[in-house]
Amino acid sequence: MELAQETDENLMLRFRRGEGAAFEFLYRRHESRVFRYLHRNVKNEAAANDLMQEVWFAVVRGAGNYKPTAKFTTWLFTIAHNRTVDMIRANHRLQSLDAGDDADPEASSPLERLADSAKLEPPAQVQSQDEAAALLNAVAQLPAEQRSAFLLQAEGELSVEEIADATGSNFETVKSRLRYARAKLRQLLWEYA
Amino acid sequence: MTPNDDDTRDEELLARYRRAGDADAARPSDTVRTAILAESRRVADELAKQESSRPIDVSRPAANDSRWKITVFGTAGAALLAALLFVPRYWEKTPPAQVSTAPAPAPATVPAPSPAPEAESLAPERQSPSDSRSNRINSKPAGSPSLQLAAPAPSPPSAAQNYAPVSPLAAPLAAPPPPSAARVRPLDLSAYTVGSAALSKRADRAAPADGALKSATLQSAVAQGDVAQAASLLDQGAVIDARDEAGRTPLMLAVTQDQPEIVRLLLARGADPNAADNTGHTPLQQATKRNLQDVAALLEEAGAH
Repeated sequence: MELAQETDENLMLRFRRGEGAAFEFLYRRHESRVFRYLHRNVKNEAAANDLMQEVWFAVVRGAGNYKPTAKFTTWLFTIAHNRTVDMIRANHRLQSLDAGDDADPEASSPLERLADSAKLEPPAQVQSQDEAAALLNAVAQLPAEQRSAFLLQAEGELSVEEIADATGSNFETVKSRLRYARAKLRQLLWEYA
Repeated sequence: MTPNDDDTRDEELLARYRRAGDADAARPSDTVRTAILAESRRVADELAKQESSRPIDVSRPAANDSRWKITVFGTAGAALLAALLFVPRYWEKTPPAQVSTAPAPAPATVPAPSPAPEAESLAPERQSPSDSRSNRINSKPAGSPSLQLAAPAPSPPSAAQNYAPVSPLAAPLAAPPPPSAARVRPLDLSAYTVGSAALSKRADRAAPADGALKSATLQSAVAQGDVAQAASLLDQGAVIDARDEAGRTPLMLAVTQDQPEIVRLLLARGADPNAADNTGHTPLQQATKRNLQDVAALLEEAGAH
């Protein structure tokens, strides 16, 4: 069967049998979405590139043991989510060392803290941009956990259940995050309009 | 606002986001992409080497997923298909077509050109059911003088005769007896046991509606001591152990009527020598009670107790 007609899972199985072209096809199929997910979470292109390499290296090196027990994209975005959280935690430790230990680690999750530390433009500034940029900025302004859940749904096309699996969260929690995220995005877009 | 409205608005929001994302020029750097693809080629080469050198480990079927599944389910499927195709043929095996056109053995039952002791005439009845039918036919003496009801036939046994009913119950499966039974070579039915379970089942299934009538008539023939009529009715499918309202079988009637010839016939055809009536009396008890020594001897030879 031609590579273009193969499912992600079959492409991985073909790669596991040593077919390099299958992986290349799979990579190009998901490259943009994974990178956007990483970039919008860490909001730094260099960090996103580092994460991109880590995520795909993990996929490549895990191919020998790959079993299609779940959707490939669930696995892929689970790796992406975990690497993102790892990087944010590492950055937070560095920031804590620089700033002393005055930060309260229990105050919020790593993603929340990163988002808080990188507050983007206020809605008034968003109004000056075009709609697409406004929407992307609105996403960036979401609390980190909500943003991550929304991006897993929007970029990874994961279901609520799959997002719960990928993030290690409760199903209802994920549903709640998604509901809040969409409500905030609508509010921000309404303000822009 | 209904949940459907929410869903529609959510879909719209996701669609707007994706349009915005597509317009986003953010892409990984060429360096990263090159590094990823180079790593994938290196790993692919390693995996290809492993794949070519990996033996099939039959002790770990999960390691050979597709192979063991194909083997197991393929074999099981083929066996099931074969069973579905072939088993019914044997299950429903019927005699060749000429059975229905060949002369039926009825009403004659025993050619018996030469007299034989009664014990011999009954002996095959006590043979193991596993004995082959043909062996019994070939080894069986000509029959008892009391059952010489038809003239010997001039021709050798036909296929139809070989497929003649093993049990009187199976008789309805054969053609009805021709009008001139005397010209038919009789088949030594006394050599047959009531035997073959398969044919008995078939006979049960194929039991005609007039089976009960024939059984009733058999009782009547027994009561009248009409050996030829009784044999004919058995050939036509009368149930040999049919009971009347008192629970008496034809054999019991024959005993109580002191009809040793019919007793011999019925025992030769496979009647149950121990079938008790509603009061619990067995044929042997009735014979003993009436001091019918010949009849009692016949019953004992047939296994009555």
